[in-house]
Amino acid sequence: MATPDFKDDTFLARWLSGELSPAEQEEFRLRADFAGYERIVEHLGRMKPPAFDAEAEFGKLKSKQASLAKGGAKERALHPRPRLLKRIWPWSVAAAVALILSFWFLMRPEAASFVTANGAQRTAALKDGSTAQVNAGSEFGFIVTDTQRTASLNGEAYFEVEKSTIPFVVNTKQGSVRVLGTSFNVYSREDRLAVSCTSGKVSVRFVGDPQDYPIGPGQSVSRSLGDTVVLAAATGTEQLDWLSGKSVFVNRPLKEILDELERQYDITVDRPAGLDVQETYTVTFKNDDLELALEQALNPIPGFEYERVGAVVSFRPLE
Amino acid sequence: MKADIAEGVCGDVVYKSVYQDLAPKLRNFLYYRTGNAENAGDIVQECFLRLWENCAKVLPEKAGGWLFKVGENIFFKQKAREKVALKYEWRQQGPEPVYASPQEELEEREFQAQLEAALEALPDGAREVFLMNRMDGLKYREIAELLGISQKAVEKRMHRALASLRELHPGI
Repeated sequence: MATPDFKDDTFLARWLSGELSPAEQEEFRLRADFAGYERIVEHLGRMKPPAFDAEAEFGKLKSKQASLAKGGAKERALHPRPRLLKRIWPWSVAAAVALILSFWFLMRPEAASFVTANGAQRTAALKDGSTAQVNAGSEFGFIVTDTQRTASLNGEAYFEVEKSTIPFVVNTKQGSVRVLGTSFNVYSREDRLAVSCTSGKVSVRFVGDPQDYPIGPGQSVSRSLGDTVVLAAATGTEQLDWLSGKSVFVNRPLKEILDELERQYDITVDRPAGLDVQETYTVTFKNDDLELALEQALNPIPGFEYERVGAVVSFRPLE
Repeated sequence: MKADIAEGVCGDVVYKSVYQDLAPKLRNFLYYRTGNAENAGDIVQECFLRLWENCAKVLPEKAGGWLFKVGENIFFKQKAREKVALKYEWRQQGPEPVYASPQEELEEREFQAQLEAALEALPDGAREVFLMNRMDGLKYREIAELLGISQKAVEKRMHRALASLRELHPGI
């Protein structure tokens, strides 16, 4: 079969990316072979490579690193480095050293990753002009490339994202959030991911679920392990609570509430046998008054009374 | 200058975000090249082990190009030793299509099988680029950056890949 003639050798690439002019588009549409291209592209749109579980693979990688660190130097020797790397290696070192030095002198960059301790919040001004307000007891990282602004989060943070054509993505172990410019809150702890949007539009994707969940201002979407995805119009305040100095829980398991208390005040809350931490409660507590917060959070729990000694809170069954 | 971290990718959080962003793309790239998901996964692990060892020397925004180069190298070394067999398996996503008749269903399945054969017959280079765009949704510019080639070269490969798919496809 003869190669079909196109006016240049990137024509189909521009068709696929929607860059043809309307005239070119129309001309192409009238060609006899157009339907064939369209059908191929449509079929390809339904095909995917085998699944890749990045979280599980990362776990494997970490354990491999740990075993190598323990004395696997010999094992590494079995994998000789490719020659090319050997050649470019000194140059990359020289380039990296030069870069590091120039950064050091020009601008000592703010740490692009940090951990907030329990009892401490932190607001980070990101390189792209966005800000992230990171709640207590969270791990946060941020990098920018030409094609993506990537934040990683284990914990909770409120983002105000600077408008840009480069997507801003928040990766968490339970899923990811993709936006262009907007403000939103991400809660990523244990098996739960909850995202609420205050302005603009965000798109949320949960691990193991191919669907995108777009939400707009005032809306939120969340999923706990094993649960179905919940889209809600009004739980926004519950998630933005911490920005106004309090923590709000509406029908959430006691475990989440106690964990948040521990993070906000850097205390330990003992959980005795017989205390059902999966039971759900609706409570609000302040983030800057421990005694009041304990009263607000723990009084609704029936059958127990609590006592605080220093930074440890313990429960006693009521007689 | 866009570098955020002078210390390369040694931080746990940075390393993990590089992994989360790039490991799936690298795995798929290697899969499109080798047709062997398990082998592709092994190479990804090896690449990231080396990235960890060299973490101070690699800036985060250069990590993509670095990883893809190392991955390709490992693949070539391996290929020199043994011929890695192609055995592509594709998942179907989205709702099951509705067919008007058994005839149509048969025809669609035949089309699918021919398309898969045509994909395998694409030359190395064109296939990865084409599928990174079509299946992973990467932009031409991002592919160019990861593979260390020009955006124009990516567009040429895209064009050639789609043109040859139609030619290789006896059904049309």
